[in-house]
Amino acid sequence: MTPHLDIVRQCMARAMKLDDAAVSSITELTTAVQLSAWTSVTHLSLILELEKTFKITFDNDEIVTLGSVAMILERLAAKGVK
Amino acid sequence: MSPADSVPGVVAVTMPQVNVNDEEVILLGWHVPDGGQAVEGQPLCEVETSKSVGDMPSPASGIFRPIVEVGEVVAIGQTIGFLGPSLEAIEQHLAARPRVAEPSNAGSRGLETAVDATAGAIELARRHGVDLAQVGAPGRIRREDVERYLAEHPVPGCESTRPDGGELPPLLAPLVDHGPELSDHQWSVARHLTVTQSRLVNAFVNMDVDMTAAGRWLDARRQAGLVTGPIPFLLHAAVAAVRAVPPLASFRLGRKVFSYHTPAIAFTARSPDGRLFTPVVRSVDSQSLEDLARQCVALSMAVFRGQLKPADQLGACMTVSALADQPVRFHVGLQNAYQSAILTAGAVRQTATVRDGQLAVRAEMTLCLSYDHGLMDGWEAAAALDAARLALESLDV
Repeated sequence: MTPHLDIVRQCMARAMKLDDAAVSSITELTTAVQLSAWTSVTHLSLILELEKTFKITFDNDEIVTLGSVAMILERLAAKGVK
Repeated sequence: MSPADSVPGVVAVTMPQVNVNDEEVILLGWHVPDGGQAVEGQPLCEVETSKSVGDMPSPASGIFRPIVEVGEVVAIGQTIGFLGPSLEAIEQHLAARPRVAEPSNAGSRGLETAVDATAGAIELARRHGVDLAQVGAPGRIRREDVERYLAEHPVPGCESTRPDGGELPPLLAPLVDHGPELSDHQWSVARHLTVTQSRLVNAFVNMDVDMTAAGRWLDARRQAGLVTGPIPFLLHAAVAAVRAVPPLASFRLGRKVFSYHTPAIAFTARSPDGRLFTPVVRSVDSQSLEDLARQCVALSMAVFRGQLKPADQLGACMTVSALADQPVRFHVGLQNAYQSAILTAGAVRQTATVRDGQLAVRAEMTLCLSYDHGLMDGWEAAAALDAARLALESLDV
């Protein structure tokens, strides 16, 4: 499992107010299409949670592209998050 | 920001010009408390101009000491606080500072007053023609003192300044409890809307829209991993409405009509702590849906990060708003100041409909246009809404 997946799940839980069952169903393959709580508004909350947790900043152009867990993990890696 | 007078590292924070038409703003609240750490570029305080509410970023980093109170009217250029390496340094600076009068509302208007009063008190007294010497408060006269004086000595023809909006009827009193007061931001929004609605003749029209084409656009984006809400295509629809009915690019003050040079449209955005903002998308008529989506994200993130400036909320001819995440059929929006209308959308729903004599199911959304009936009539509003409907139904994905 990608080392940051669990932390990303927790960020998603806070941003989208997910229960434990929903959180545990999140995998690297989860996308916004599959998760009804992943809306354009909760997406912005998720971005804030990720920025705060990993102490990074996403560019505006980058933010719209982060509609899947895989893409989030890829961008975290690209930003050198350890 | 101006450099230190006597103690190194201490700088005065002055109120910048946030709107060319304003000589003063109202300080709604501090984002950095007394003695807190301010960070350059991060929100320092929230201010209300004559047209909008927004955050003012800190001009530098350092420990902050405010010197004006929340609710005060602050003149442009007036010192509102100090930044320094420590509170002690700021205290030292203040103690050593020559006693020079601050620029104030009274000063800016050439009024002389021998009474010690805050800028907010002076402004309120000036607005109501009250002699501050008559207010008679112990110590420095504050805005609340003038409000109390006005409540006791009502000035004919002036609107109430009472923040509680009136007395509770005695029969109702045993049935209710006092709840918490509105936050400064909520109160500011309520006051803005109260004043705005009193100037308008409100009317609305609504229309069902086939969302098949818009839904395809959204689906295609989501399948590509791009997260987008309904606001970009509402902006696209609003542009079509303005093109079809030019009065939408204007607003009315009494019988005077003012037209915006270029169409800019605002959208409603809610911050994580529940504050409402209306960031403005510029040059909407020359942008693709993709560009509109990008701008919406940039402005929405500014709201979420607390970085939206008052200027970012100025100059829109109308606003769009969506309650798409809840099962709302339609809602009647309240127009913002100096705008013609607000276009709102409910949630997309599946509806049975008759097409070419056959029963079919389609994705449908109801659009509602609230407009100033003093600026345009119902026929024009319906024509504008129909243009918005056509723009959405003919989206070429």
